Amino acid sequence: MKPLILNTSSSLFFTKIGLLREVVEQFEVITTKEIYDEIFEGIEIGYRDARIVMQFIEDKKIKIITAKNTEKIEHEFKIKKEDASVIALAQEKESFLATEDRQIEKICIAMGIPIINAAAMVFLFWNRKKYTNTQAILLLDLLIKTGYNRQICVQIMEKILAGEKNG
Amino acid sequence: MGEAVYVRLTDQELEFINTLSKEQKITRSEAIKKLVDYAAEGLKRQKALESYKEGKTTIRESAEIAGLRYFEFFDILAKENLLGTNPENTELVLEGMERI
Repeated sequence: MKPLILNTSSSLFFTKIGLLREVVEQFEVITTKEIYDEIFEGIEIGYRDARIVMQFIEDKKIKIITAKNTEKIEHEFKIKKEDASVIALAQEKESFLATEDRQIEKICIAMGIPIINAAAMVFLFWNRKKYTNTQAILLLDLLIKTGYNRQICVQIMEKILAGEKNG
Repeated sequence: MGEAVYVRLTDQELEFINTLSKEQKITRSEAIKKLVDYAAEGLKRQKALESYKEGKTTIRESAEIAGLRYFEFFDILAKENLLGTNPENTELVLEGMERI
């Protein structure tokens, strides 16, 4: 199984809805030094979610790898080094990038890098029967309550409910 | 040292500045600077939000436009339920997931 590359945005939503433990159990999760530094900054300014993500890093449940082509991607797309680092790593590892950032998603689609987001991860676990319909719907509802895009969650809720009807 | 700028204010604007100055026990000059700082901060955030909504910049770039750190701007986006990839791509994301 290929690793899952983690951007800060997804790590925060996985944490907010209590999904991060399940994600690290199901995938080899990797992020970059640039993201590590950003998470560290989050701790310094008092963000609890950052502290939780860092605990997973310290426990080696999330590995840190330096991407080789960060600078190339940074200059090619004129984006920040943190953004470039996860895109570069996903490309190098031919892996999925977990992100909630629209602009990064746009670049990944253009580069043929597959992406996944927090709402889709809930759907994946539901699909793999790790969650019941009710659990998945509650998690999606929690995503909305913690600031996630409502439209995406509703789209996925509808799919789950359609599955329930068909099942 | 900053540059002195001559600005003509309406009676209403001046009255507001006088009131603010009295209430906060600051000079009129300090009151004006405070208002400019406050407005600049709001305008930068508005610009950053628009840029993010229009898909022109990443969360990190938008945070920089707003003059905030990543986590601080993330909170602002969360308050407006603006986080998450493009809903138009949900099908594409779910289809691609079969290969995960």
